[in-house]
Amino acid sequence: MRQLDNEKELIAQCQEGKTVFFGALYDRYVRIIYSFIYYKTFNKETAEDLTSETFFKALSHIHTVDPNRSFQSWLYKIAQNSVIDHFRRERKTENVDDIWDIADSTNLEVDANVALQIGTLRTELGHLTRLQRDIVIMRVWQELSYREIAEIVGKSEASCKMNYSRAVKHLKKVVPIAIGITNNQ
Amino acid sequence: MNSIEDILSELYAIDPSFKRHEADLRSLVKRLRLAKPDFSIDDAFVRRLRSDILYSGKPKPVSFLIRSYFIQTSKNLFRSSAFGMAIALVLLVPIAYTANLYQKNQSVSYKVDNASVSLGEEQEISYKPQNAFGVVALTATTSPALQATPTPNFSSIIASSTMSAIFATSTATTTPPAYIFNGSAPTLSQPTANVLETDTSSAARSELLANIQNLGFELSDMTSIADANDSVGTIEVQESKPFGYIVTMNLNKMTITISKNPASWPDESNLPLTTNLNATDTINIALIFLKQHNINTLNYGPATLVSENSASSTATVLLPLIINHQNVFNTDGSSYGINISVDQKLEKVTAVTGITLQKYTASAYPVETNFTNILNILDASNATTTATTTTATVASTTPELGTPASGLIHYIVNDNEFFVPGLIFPVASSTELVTVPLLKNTIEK
Repeated sequence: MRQLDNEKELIAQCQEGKTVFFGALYDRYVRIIYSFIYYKTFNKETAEDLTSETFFKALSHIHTVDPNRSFQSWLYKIAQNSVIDHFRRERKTENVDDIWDIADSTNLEVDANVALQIGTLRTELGHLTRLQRDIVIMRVWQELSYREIAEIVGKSEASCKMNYSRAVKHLKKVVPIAIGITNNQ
Repeated sequence: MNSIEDILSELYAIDPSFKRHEADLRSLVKRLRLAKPDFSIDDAFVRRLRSDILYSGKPKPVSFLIRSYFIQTSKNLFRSSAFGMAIALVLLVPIAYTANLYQKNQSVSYKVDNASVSLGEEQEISYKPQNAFGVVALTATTSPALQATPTPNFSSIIASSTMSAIFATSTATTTPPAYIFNGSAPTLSQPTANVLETDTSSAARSELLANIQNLGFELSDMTSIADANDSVGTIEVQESKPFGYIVTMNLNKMTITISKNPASWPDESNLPLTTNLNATDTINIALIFLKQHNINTLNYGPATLVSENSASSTATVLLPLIINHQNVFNTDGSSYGINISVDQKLEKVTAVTGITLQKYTASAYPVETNFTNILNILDASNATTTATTTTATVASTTPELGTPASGLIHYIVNDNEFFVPGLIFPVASSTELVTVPLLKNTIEK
């Protein structure tokens, strides 16, 4: 609660033109926003560019922030839109929101280690709806609480849990069980 | 990272039927966890972006679009082709021009052409042993542009603000107003922080002198500059052409001041009073002047119109100085930096103050790390303030201070210029800021 109050105060200071106080907001969210973007681009340079874009947009539109609503959610929306704009510019199509929507990614610059690491799961996660995928990534990879996820995606916690559950059920059907994985790890 | 067991438990809580497929689910969760991409965020990027966002005000979103477009275009159409480069450059020019005019809250950023030699292009800080400057006895300063304006005479030298109600106690006031701190206490973990002093060494003086030729004025008599030695304090040279300027170099303070040469300017009283100059136009006039005279603005924040005098048709544009990624403030909370006066009738710059070489020496000093002590200082400075002002603007409400940010506070001590680490407090329902230096020996006194 203290943090929330503090955040409101920081936003209020920024809205009064004291943009030096944006630094604290930046420090609080830069890594989590970068992660969010990285999981949607798999490219370091692109993630850095879109993180820059997100925070510059945030500062230039800080006067539009409603202090009674989640700043984090607002920031995520900017990041999400930056990612969408990026891929739509890059792919010249309306139907691509992030790298998960691109089946044929041979022409995309993806960090090599990530491509290896994620393997076929990329296709499988790509079959989820964007909302389901975002929730899985935010919960399992970013380890955000359901409350945070709900704020970010603009749904109730119950709805987020339901979507998470559906996503897992879907993945359970399509993801082949790897040979040699022990159950006790 | 959440363990597999945590994730499974959570899933069972959401949907107990998952328990029937525990083995498959465990395998899936493990796979999900293993597939989490390993990456590390580049700390240098985080620092650089922070600095760019807060201090340089560069229009990154626009330049980003340019770069994206350039990259995409060159990838898809003109890969490795000189023609592609040429096309991309043609595309860059008009968009970059638009970017230069990007404005926000009456401020614009303007990137100086780095190809030219320019004053203050690189900040240089040389480090000395701890406490190298001895005791730094701090006294309050105000922005050069504001010095001509009558200001309340604060007796407090510890904490200062333009809000007279906070630090100045009028003769009629018997009970000093107290502060209410409503912010969050910052973490002050470092026992020492660097105090910076403007470099006034012979080498720095020579460099400043050499720079006068890069300023692009038509200065006819350069003899005095060539002959200048360590005993010379101030050098003044004049342009005699129409709308000429006087350039004054203060070699003790290591500053350059530019002002109009009244002898070569027209009588303004004969000019029409009306002007259509808005804030953006005024700021652009100021920035273009700096660019024309090779005064680099890379180490400054976005330009802002800080004052406008409709009677005299003059306006002041401020470029806040940034040293080592830290904003610099006067003790009264106003930003310290280059001040440019613009005559809005003539649409010309009439004076520039605060131009420096940006070479500093730094020395670590012990700083206060107990935030409670700092708050006590605010109260103590207020309580010990003696009656020295007759200001009538004593507020009836108790000032509320918010969460402070860190910065450097500008002081002149024995004619030497210092930049001292401090905290900058916002004042609720006000545009004012309160500055508190963190030097331990000063605070203890």
